[in-house]
Amino acid sequence: MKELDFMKKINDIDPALLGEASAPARRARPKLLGRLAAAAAAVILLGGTVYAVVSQIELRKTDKPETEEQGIEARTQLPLVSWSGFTGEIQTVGETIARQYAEGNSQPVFSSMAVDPGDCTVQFAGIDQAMEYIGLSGLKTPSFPFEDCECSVTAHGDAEGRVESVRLWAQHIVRNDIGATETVTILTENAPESDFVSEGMWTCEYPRDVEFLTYTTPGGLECRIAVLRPQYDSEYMSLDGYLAVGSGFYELNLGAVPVEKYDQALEMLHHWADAMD
Amino acid sequence: MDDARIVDLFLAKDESALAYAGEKYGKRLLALARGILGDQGAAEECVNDAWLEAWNRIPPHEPRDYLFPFLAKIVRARALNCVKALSAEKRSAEIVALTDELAEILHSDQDTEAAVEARALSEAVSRWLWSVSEEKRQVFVRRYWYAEPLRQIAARYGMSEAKVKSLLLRTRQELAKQLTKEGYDL
Repeated sequence: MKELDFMKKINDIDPALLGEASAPARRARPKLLGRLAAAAAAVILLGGTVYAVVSQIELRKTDKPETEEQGIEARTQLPLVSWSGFTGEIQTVGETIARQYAEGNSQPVFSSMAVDPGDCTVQFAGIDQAMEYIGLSGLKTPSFPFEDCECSVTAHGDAEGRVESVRLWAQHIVRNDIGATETVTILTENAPESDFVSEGMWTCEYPRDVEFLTYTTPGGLECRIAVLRPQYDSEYMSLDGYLAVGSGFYELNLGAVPVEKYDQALEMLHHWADAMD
Repeated sequence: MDDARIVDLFLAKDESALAYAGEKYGKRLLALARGILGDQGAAEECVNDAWLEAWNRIPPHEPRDYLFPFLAKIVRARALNCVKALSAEKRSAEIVALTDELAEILHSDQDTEAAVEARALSEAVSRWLWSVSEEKRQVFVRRYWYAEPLRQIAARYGMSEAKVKSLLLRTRQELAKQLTKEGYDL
């Protein structure tokens, strides 16, 4: 069979497959811990006004022998933001989320990219439109200098349609050597707790050495960095940066960085953190 | 603007549908065409033609829930037709690499138009993709449907390029085995 014929003949594969493959990569999916909110949590419920909260970010390597996975975990406490502070079109998603639970369905994967019940995802042509959709005053715009990116916002809520978290995801369409994905997560007052964990996993089949670094910006903002080096593939590495700024938890992943570009990638992370200062 | 509203504008033959759809998906469609054609000008022409085709196909189609896949299929089919029309030496390096990978599992020289009905093959590939791991199927679709460069796939999924290559090799072999089992003469 001719190769181009084969490519043409699979043009009609299930649209859901195409939607799923366009969705944000599942890596570093945020999760809320099962515990109740700690009394010490920094809770901000003042009409959506966002105040700077200096959060400590804890990084650690995790092992899950039961699923043969390893990973890194970034944990911090985030302020819980009043839902009324989100003034953009995102205000209307509650009804959709409640309906998903009531009907026992998630949104069709091919239209929304969301695959889990309770998630409502909308795609945007750029970060500015996504920020407008969220409409949270004081939320810092992701600072990575994307020239061109895929962008989406996912609101996650409960069966009553109360939105617990909002996540903005942007991925640079790689043309040069380093690809970048930036995410921002905000927890709302409906979140069961303010203890937030973001985790990135990989299978034990491809073990990686992990090194944790800290970079402090001129303004005193602490950026935690994880450098991941595959043990069996010494040519590439990836770097993850983590920042807690105001109400947002910002993550920048620089994936598949050639070893010789490590310094350049680290510098990109530093510039990213400086821009959030 | 959400997809359902854009499709409603298409159905009402309101030309602003093209502007809204272009603003939302234009860049991604252009990237898809450019990945296959390897040329910005040709990609732009391909996407422009695709807008006209989409305009003519909505209605009768009403892709409220799958507007991007609907548009992407049109762009991809047009781009592949353009590639077929080009001589081998004028094809982009990416499409040459991509077809070389597929050549490893496709051996038959027979006229596939007669031998295999496209929809049936798409259905067989879809069924099989849903049966494999999420990682495998997404990487396969990014590579062989969206024609995405290995490097970009590696960045998207936080893998090395070497891992993407080995994952794709295993996936192609498994697909070939499955299709052969279902009676396809590859």
